Amino acid sequence: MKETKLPEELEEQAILDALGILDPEDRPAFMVRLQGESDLLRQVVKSYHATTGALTSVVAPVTPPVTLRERLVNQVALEAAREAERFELAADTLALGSVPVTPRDSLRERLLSRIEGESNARFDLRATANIRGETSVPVGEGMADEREKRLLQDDSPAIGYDRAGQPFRTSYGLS
Amino acid sequence: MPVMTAQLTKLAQDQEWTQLIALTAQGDQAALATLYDRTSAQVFGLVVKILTNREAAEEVTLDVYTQVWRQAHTYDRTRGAPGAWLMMLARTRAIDRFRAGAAEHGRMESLDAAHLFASDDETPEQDVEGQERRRYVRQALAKLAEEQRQAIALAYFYGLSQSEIAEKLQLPLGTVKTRIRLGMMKLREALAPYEAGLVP
Repeated sequence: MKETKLPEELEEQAILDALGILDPEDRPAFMVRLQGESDLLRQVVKSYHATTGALTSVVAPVTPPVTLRERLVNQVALEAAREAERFELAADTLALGSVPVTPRDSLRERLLSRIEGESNARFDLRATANIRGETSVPVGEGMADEREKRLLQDDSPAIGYDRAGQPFRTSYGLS
Repeated sequence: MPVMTAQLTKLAQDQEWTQLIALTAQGDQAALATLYDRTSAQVFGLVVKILTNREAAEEVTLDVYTQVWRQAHTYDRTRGAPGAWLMMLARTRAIDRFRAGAAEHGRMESLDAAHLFASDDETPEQDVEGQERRRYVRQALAKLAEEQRQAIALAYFYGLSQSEIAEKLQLPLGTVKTRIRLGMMKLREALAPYEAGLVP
């Protein structure tokens, strides 16, 4: 048979909860019951909350002074600005506070080796260009690719880095 | 006002306020200002009633909307209408202020709950639905005994516990408990048709 009426003690707690004066000591147990009990308790609690909610509507509205709105707008703008500042500071702290991690030595070796490989390729290309020059191959016939032409015209020395991280210029003596 | 029209008006109002609270949660200052424009008279009216001091009520009202600005993200529509949430914040803040003042100035003894339900509209109101609702709730309250109204008002508007009410009214605790319980049961019954939307 479906329950239609709450025990008196439970209904009293529902009333006190709606009035906002349920004893703090009783609240945790009441909330647990509210989660687990039958729908009836939830309905009763909701209904008493609607009842007390209606009580506030008895009070007639009173228009606050205009200055209060201005104060609110200014205060909120100030809070928003502070919030933005705090956010920025927190973001900076996070970014700067990240722990540096030294990569393995092999990564450095791989990087240097890659740089060296690219430099050699460049050297080979220039050497090929000189050979072609000697045999008077006109630019445009054998090397239609503009990108390749630009590479051949570039005589600036390449830059390398020693183990101490100091830059040095490399010259392949092509000219 | 026809029932359906009143319900649709309330629904549209709830939707607008919920949207304004959601925008406020995203940091939209204009949305908070609009919410203030829509609701501040009701909030300020309640706080003035509780504190009977306009200056203190202004400060509390400011605190209420500042709290909305900070905690808009905590509003859960499934747990209640936006107006109810806002009035709960206002009532809680006003009670905190009242109790702090009462502890300081011993105002608890001179507390008069009767004025809370008095019909003294200070502002000529354009909100027909609000007036209608107020009239209906007053009629429901009129069905209670004066002692029941007093006990309920002391609890709800001033946050007094049953023991504090018993002490203030110099009554046995059991009497206060009975007044509150019977009064609330009667009020719930009287308001049920209104809450169910059967009455405009």
